[in-house]
Amino acid sequence: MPTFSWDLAAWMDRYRDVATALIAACAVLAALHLAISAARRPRWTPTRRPGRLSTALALFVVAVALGLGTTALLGLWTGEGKLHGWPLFVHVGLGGAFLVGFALLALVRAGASRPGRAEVYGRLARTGFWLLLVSGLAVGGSMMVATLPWLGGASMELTIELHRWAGLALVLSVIAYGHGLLLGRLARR
Amino acid sequence: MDDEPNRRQAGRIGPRCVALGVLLLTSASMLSEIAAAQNFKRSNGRGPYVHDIDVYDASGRRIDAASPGEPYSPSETCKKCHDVKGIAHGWHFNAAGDGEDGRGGEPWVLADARTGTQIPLSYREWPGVVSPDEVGLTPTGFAQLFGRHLPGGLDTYADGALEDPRRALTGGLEIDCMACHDASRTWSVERWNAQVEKQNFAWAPAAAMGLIAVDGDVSRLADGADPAEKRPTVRWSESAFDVEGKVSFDVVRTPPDGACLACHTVHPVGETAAPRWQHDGDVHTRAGLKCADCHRNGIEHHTVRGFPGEVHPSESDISSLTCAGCHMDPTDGHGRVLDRGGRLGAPLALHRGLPPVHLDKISCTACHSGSAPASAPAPVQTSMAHALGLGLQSRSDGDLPHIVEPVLQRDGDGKVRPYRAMWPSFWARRDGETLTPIAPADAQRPLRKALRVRRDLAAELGELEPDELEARVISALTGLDDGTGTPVRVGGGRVWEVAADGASLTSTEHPAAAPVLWPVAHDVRPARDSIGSGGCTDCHAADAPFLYQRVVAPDVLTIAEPLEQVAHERLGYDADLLRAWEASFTGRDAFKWVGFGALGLVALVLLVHLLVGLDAILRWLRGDRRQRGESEG
Repeated sequence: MPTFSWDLAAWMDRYRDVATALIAACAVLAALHLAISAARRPRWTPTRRPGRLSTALALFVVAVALGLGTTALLGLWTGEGKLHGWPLFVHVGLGGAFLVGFALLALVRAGASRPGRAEVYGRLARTGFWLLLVSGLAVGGSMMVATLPWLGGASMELTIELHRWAGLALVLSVIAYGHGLLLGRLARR
Repeated sequence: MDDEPNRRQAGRIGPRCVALGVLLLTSASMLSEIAAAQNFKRSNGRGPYVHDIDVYDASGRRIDAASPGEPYSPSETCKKCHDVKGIAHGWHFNAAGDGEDGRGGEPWVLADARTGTQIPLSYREWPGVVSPDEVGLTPTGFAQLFGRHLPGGLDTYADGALEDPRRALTGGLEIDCMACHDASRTWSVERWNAQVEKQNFAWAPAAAMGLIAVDGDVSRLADGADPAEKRPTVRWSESAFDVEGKVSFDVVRTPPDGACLACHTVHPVGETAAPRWQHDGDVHTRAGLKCADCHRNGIEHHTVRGFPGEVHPSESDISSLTCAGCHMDPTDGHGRVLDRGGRLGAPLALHRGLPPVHLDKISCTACHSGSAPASAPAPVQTSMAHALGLGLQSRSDGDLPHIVEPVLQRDGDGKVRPYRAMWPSFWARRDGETLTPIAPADAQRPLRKALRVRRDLAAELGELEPDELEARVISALTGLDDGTGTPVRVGGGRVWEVAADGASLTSTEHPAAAPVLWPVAHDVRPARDSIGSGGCTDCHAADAPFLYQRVVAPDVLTIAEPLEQVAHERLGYDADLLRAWEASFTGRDAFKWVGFGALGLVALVLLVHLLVGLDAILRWLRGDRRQRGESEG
């Protein structure tokens, strides 16, 4: 029976469990909400459709980010709490693809996702987008800094810790963002 | 009538009496131990103590300066002030099972060039070693061969030393304190070895200090000879005693490095070995540290070996006397520093840019110790195996045993460590899965006829054509057949025997043929000379020795192509994954540029929209105020 603790280090040690539970819970909630929304009339309808390229880019970023989360969790569950081997390699490779897609997405969709511009995306998609940008910046920044010969052992560990939790935030943001996009598509039908 | 029970009670010893007796005996024993401990002298000063002392012979009799006749006994002399019995249980003296066998270390090697033999020996039950008695070595025979690099203490070091029938003649090879604690550099391994080789064990300590000259050779005496008549005679040096009849010993509490290196030197040999003057030595020595600064011990002489996870018999916490203990700040794995290292002024190992996962998988020594990995492990010679420290004109780089370093190996804790390795080579008899090595002395006669080797098996048979060599080995194996088991030749990681057709050799793998490995710890190279100091591609490249070193199992007698293994195979790495990482590192700089560029772009977008958002908020606030002003007006 898991016990609750306010000890931060204890939560850090249980990252794998916490991340898996949170992601699973959010994914289930989003799926349920999507199913209910599909059966009901949408309350909000966009007045303008997003471009095809921009949609493809968004879906690419969402897919890659979910892939990053999946490889990370898979690695943690199969690697006794440490990410290494093939899961790490795939994770790093996807990370590079994510950064490129993520930057392009920021350029393409930031204008239409500004608060107050509700003609293209719903509130959830817009909130998810900005959360994605902030958490993605933290995830990418913490990874890229670690590739430079700057940080020593403890600092490196701290950076990886930041990377893990920012990564969790990114996956949750991506779920929200993807969920918002799908809701928008339902509304247009 | 009333007296009857009392009489009965008086006639038997009740449980209370027994308990009281035991208590009294125990107390008496403890008190005598305490008293003995209190008898040991202590100066408790940090300065040196001048040892102008009386010396005693093995029977405990004070040696009279006017007519000295016997050699001095270190134990009888030193026990007046020091706990000699306790010292005998220390790591250097307790191989015969007094304590734990401990992590595997360097074995002794029974080497013989004429029979192409190199058998790893130890009284400790380490993996892959053979007990000396299995090859017919009595404690006396063992000491005669290897005592040159043993600081004495044979009684506790070798199984059955006390019962050895020759002990009455040889005397005890006592722990010779001066072998390590001599500050004057008077103690000579040459003089020590000269006596040990003659089995003049009891005479070796005094002779090593140059205090006596010995006339006699115990090794020439028959087992039953009368010690009183035949033992060597002694002449004491005229300058040995001072005016008070005492002898002066220049004793140092902490052994100088020379004492350690007398037995623990590793000497690179072969074509790739740089000349000695080009070696930098150990970085710690360069920094002014002594071996005993880390490898320390108390009076009980349980010398700290300094590997992670070592448990000290005293139960003292010795975790800080490791590489990581001095050079790393232990963390909780999440970047929070739990403790501070830095003992002895050790610089903090930052490992900038090294993903921490490496430190979970690779030991400190893998990158910092011994010879840097090359395309193949390099040959080395060691004091214990090659009698380094003794002046010999006949030394050559090809002397047996053949030892190489570094061979990387994954340990039980999953970490990669560098090892020195020796593949056993010997003739043996096989009974099922059991191999019994044939001692070189027993193998020489049958082999001489078949192999026609005079001095050096490898040199004299090395030039033969493979068919001729095979025929000679078959002939040798046939000659060794005495009906007690199938004769076999162990070497190159395999066991060879005559095939069923009687005309060829066949080989199998066997644990007895597997290499004996012991960890490399020194010399330690500085950070800038360690693996990884040149970046990720020091290891993550297709030609990096760390992962692609070819480890060949050499045989003294090369019967067939030696077994070969690439380092990453030994370490159990996925070759495809390694190649994938290597490929990724070729574009690593481009990856960094693209990554930082992308992040910069996102940061810019966020900044612009943050400013736009702020502007909108400010305008909204202004507009709201204006609207309020208009409505109020």
